[in-house]
Amino acid sequence: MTSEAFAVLTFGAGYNTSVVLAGVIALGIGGGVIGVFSFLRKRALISDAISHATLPGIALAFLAGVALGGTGRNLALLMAGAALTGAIGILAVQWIRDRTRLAEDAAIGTVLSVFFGFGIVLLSHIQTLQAAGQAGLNSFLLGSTAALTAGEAQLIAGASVAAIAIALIFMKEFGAVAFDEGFAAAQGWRVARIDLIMLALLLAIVAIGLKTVGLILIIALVIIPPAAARFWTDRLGRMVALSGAFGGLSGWIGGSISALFPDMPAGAVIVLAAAAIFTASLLFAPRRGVIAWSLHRLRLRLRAAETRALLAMADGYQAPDALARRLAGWRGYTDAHGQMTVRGAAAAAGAAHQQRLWRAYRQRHPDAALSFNPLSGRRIEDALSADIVAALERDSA
Amino acid sequence: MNPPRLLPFDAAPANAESKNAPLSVRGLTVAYDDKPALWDLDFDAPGDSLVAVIGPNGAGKSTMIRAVLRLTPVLAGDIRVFGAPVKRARKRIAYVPQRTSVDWDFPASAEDVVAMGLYGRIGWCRPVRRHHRDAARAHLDRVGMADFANRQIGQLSGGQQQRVFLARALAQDADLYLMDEPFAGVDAATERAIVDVMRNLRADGATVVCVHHDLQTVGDYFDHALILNVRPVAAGPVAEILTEENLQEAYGGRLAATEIRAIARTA
Repeated sequence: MTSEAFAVLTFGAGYNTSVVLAGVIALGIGGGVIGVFSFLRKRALISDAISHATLPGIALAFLAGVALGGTGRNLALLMAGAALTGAIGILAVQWIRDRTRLAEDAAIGTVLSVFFGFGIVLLSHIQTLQAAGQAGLNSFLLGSTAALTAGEAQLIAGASVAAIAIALIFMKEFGAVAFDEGFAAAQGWRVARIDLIMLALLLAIVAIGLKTVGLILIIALVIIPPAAARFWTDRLGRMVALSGAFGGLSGWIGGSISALFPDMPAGAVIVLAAAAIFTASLLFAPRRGVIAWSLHRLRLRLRAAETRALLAMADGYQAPDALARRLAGWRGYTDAHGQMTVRGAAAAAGAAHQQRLWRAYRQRHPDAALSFNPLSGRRIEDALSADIVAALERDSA
Repeated sequence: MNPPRLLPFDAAPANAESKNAPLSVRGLTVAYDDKPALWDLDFDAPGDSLVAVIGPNGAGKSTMIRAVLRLTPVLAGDIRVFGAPVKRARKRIAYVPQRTSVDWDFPASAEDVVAMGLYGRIGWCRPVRRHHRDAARAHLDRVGMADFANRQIGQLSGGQQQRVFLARALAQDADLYLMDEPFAGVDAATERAIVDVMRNLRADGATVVCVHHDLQTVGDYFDHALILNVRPVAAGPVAEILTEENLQEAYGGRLAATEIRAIARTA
């Protein structure tokens, strides 16, 4: 089992499997890269409307393919049909949002359901025609890598790479419009046009990923990697790279598992891999992750409580609240009866001194003082140059 | 006796100077649904000056700026920037929007935001290069924010964010600067920095039109003003138009008479 798994993961399990895996990885990277821009533009959910709107297009393309004398399962043809109705879905959402009083989320929900319902009706009609054909189309709902040929995988990989290249070319345009639409428009950028390019790229990812991940879950490839990447960085370029990496990683792990267990729906497995990466990012990312953030907040609370306790003690009072009192006890500033110890007296004097220095600093250099964080644990003497500190000592004497 | 002949409307006086004024507005009318936000505004901004646009809440001040930039659809009116329609003059206009209109959690540093001011010059699809980033940092230095170049913008104070916005506008190297309440909610140091930058811009020959919310400082910072209350109330040099009468007409009911008198005296 493990040797099999290793072979799949390292592209050593045969040409077909490796090409399919490469295609899925490319798709994952594409979803990650393009997803960043719709994520930042706060329009990620429109990809749900797009994906559900592709169903009638797939069914119609199948019928067209059969009518033209083939099996109707040519991937390029089905992708084209999907893209066509997907595009109509986008335009329908925009039109409803611009011309009626409905907000975009209502428009998305409406378009999504109407198109999808229509698609289901077409699918069941196809079922009455030929049972074999239907089974192939069903895989578009939840995705499967099992029936993917090498040629189809190459198509997926190539199209993904093209989409990624286009997204990178327009990176600054997407960023400008996502950050400050009014400023971009004032500069002369055609915001509507840039949005349309972004939506076209989303549509491309949906159409490309339909067969492998399935239309119900393709939206996850476009939302989860950017959301995970956001935890790790505050720079757009790095976020794009990281999101692409997470998407590719999900494709690699999920695609490999799908190759080892062909009965499992590929889309779900890839999405679960992405979800695992997201959960790990949510918990463990430094600074922005939940654990790091909670620890940071706790540290701040404790430091604030300690300062409260020491300042009260410097004035001759016990600490004002229970947490401060307990902390003073733990730190050895007060003894078992709540009275100040020698150590506590020294610490209290130190805290009062810092307070006076900070007050003098705020009076003398009000602008610079804004950058000094008294809760950071740093002493003012360490943060400023000696001559400034000397001046502050004179002021606060 | 015959009634006087009516002249064709185009013959209405518009002096030659106003033709190439930095900003020239005729009959500007903007309405959201049926409520008018701006009604029949005629205004010429003089060159080389700092112009304040003042008025009570809902007077149409921000609407005017957004209408000039064609960010808001207009019911009627002609807008010219240096004699040309706005679409053709965009490269000569810089915009500092309200700070509240932006998502400050966006993954961008102060330097990234200022670099966005250069995007218009970089053009479609071309990358942002090293020398663009260096220029962005230079503009940050002009507003005293050079040390914060790599700080994510959400971690800056309100005044610092405002200065980053200002640096972004400076990067556009324009002749007409439109600012929407740049002094709102900023600290004293930032206020001084913004005024210095504005005065330098004027010295370099640019015109700054600024929506201003603080009547106490109009007389100190600006040399011209436009008083708006949906309809224009008065326009001209601050000393001339900041009168009790004009302020009463614009703010009547929203400001106490004593306040109005005090403000008129600052002019």
